[in-house]
Amino acid sequence: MSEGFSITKTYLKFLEEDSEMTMPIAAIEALVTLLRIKNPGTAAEVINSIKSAVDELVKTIPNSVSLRAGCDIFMRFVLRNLHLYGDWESCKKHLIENGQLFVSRAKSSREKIAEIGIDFITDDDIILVHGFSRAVYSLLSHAANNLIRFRCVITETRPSNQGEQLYKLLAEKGIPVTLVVDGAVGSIIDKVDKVFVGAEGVAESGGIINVIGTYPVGVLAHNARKPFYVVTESHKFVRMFPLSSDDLPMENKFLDFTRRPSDSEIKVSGPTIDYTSQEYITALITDLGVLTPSAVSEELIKMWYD
Amino acid sequence: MSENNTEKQASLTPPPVEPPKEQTDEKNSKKDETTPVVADGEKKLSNKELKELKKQEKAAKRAAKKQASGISIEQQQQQAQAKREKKKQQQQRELQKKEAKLKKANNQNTNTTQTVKKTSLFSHLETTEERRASVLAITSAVSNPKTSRITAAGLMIPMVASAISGSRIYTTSSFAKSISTPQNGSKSNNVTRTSTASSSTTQASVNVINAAAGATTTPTTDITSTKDIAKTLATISLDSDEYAVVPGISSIVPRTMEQNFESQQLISSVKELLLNKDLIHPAISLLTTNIAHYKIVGSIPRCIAMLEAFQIVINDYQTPKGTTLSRNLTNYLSHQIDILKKARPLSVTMGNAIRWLKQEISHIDPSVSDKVAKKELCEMIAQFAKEKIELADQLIIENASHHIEDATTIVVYGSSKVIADIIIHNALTLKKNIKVIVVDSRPLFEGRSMANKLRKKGINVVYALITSLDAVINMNVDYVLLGAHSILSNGFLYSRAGTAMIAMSANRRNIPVLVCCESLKFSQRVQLDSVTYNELADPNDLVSVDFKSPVERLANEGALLKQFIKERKEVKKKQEEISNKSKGKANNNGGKNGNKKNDVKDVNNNEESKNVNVLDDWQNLQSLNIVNILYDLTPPEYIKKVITEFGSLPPSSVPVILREYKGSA
Repeated sequence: MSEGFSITKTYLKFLEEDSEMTMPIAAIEALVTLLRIKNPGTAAEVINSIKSAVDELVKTIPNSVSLRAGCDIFMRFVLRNLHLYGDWESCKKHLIENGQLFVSRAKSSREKIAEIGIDFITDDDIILVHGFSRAVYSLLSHAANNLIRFRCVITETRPSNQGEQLYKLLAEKGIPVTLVVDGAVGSIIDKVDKVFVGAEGVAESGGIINVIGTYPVGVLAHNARKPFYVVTESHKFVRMFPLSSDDLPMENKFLDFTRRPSDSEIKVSGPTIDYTSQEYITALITDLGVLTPSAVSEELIKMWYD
Repeated sequence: MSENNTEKQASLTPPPVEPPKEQTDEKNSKKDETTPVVADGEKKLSNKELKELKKQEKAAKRAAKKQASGISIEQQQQQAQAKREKKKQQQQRELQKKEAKLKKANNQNTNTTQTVKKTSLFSHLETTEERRASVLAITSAVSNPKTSRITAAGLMIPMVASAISGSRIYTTSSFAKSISTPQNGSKSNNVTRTSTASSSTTQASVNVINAAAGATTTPTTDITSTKDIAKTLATISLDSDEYAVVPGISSIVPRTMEQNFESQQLISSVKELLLNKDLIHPAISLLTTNIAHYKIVGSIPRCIAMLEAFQIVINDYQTPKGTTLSRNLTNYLSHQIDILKKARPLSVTMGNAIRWLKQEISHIDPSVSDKVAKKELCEMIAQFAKEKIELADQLIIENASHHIEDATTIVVYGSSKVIADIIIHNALTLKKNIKVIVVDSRPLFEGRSMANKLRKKGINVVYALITSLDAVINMNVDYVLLGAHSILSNGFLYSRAGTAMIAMSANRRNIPVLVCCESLKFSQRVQLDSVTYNELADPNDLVSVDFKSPVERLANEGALLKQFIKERKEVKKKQEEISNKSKGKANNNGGKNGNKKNDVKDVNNNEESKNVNVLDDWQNLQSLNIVNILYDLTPPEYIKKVITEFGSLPPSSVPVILREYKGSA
């Protein structure tokens, strides 16, 4: 049975089955399942099998940033527990149990974020949202539930069109919402009171990796002196330190200048994620509380070396 | 008494025998005779002349009265003449007294302004002069008393003594040359010197020098013979009766220092160290001299050298009766550290290592036998060095390699071992096509060794000075890699002076600035400007433009020697002037004015004829200060990231690492 197991397939299955599940959590779930199925006999075997699975995942999934965050956390968790438990059997049991705990905790963390972040939304606010993020949505819907009257401007977020998805959800909630093209951000930024974005990963520096277009929004917000908040779960903190979008592991990183026959269809290419560095970020609203960008590194260090 | 002769004499006097105290005296006296004091005297004299005129008028009146009372004019005149002469003598005596007083006052003035010349901005920092003096005082007290006795005349002998002991090799050719000058020259000089006769101690020193020159009749050029000279010098100084050898080092050394340096703190600390001089381990005193002479530079090499010395110290350590190792050893080490501090301020790495070591010592169980504890400690130190420096460096290289892509141009500044290793690793092992621009600066020129190191490995290197920084930054640079002396708790980078410039220019062009350093370099300190705490280097390094690296120069003490010779020359010249002047005085009173004018002309002539280096004489120029600081601070906003063995961090995470690791480190 273990031969037929594919970590990538399991991962994708988890993502498909549960629309509420984020990528890092799906990765953790997949790894827990792997442990349960493979049932490794020694600690070294556990580490090796997880490592190879992570490598495989990172290789096969095109957008691996947030997935890597989940793998990092699980790896760390495994290593620490292997240390704590001398007895292998109880350790394994503990690992699998707690793997599950991770998942449930991750889901509740969004509710926590909504609780914490609600103070950032006040009556008569116009909020610009770029991209679709479950954390942002849960915060906005929580605010609406608490009878805060605010309006939302949502960008289209091409090419993934995540904006439409969020537009529908917010409209269902009865929040006044409007959809604009990505290029319109510059002209409407003055009308907007604050900007909310999600994150696929939060780098060590406190900068974020998110869907393409976040960086220009961040720069525009910074230029217009509008607060730029990142709403994200703390399990998306990842031990990476990109200097710019160039440093991100992604496909279509390099611009494609190859000539095509003139009659062929025009193809939109280029990266799908970008990196917004910490100087554009006002604060990160996370389940650990509201953090400044520099506190991210602190949390990561605490997570990794205590 | 030709110019030639005096110069010869000046070059003839090797530094070791020169008493610094004497020297300053002479300097002061020469100063007296030059500008301000003389001008003062002139004024007073003219006042007195006025008074005299008045008195003459009065005398005339009196004479008229006396004549009326029946005394002849001739008699009156004779009497008056006698009286006047008496008064004149008195006045002259008074004048002399006053001048002496002024001299004294000036002595004090010049002592504070001249020998301890500091910029007011950096006056709270220890100068190299102060450091050297204290190191000299201590090392001389510690090393063998037979060869390095401290004499009343000065402290310089131990320098020679250390040359004999072979710990350092004297390569200054000027030293050898000065000795090899023909003897007759020195003899005639001796005569001149006795005629000037400033003080008995100088005479003594001159005698010693001459004797030394006599002892080594053969012209000497090679090192071994210089050593011989040093040896003879040392022995002569001991045998010479005139050369008063004063017991009670602790009283003498601080006295000479007191005269040269103002700082009470410095003197008292030296006194205290001298009281504890028996506790000083030879390994430490050797290390102290090595560090003081910039033989060991760089915060990591200094730290490693210190740890190695500590291993020796701990090995030789014996716990006294009635106390335990864990209690007494820290105390004992503190004494050693106090001396190390005198060489140069402790680097942050050293401070961190010391803190760790002391903690480890205090954790030692008192029931463990000394032998076991000592062995354990030595092993722990070795492991600490390996873990915190060697392995950390490997991890840093690994981490940094992720950032260096193929075909990049990297700017580095000065010399840093880790950065050199990173570049070499990437270029050779990972086969990346890397171009390196080594930016260097005066006066240390550390970049040269860096450039050479990389070049030898076949890496493409461009060498530039920091003055051309703007052009360098425009050369399609991808990264700036910087080493560090320390990173402070508020994220500021404390590194070789000039680093801030590089970081700022790079930041202006959006070039990422990466700092590579071990976490051992993280400091608890917080500092907002580079004035509050810094290290002053020798200002003389900035004076002469020398293509030799000053580090090398300092290492063989050439700078000190040169400075000394220069000072001697000046002293000679001034003394000559003084003697000229005194002759002029003896000739006639009115001649004084003319003489003074001549002096002024002389000074002018000198300045014109020198025409070499305006800064040469900076010690005597009242309104000129030279600042040569070693480090500067780079604010964190110019630093993209800090690469440590824990991975890449933003500079703001330094306090987190310190906090999280306090227990485990």
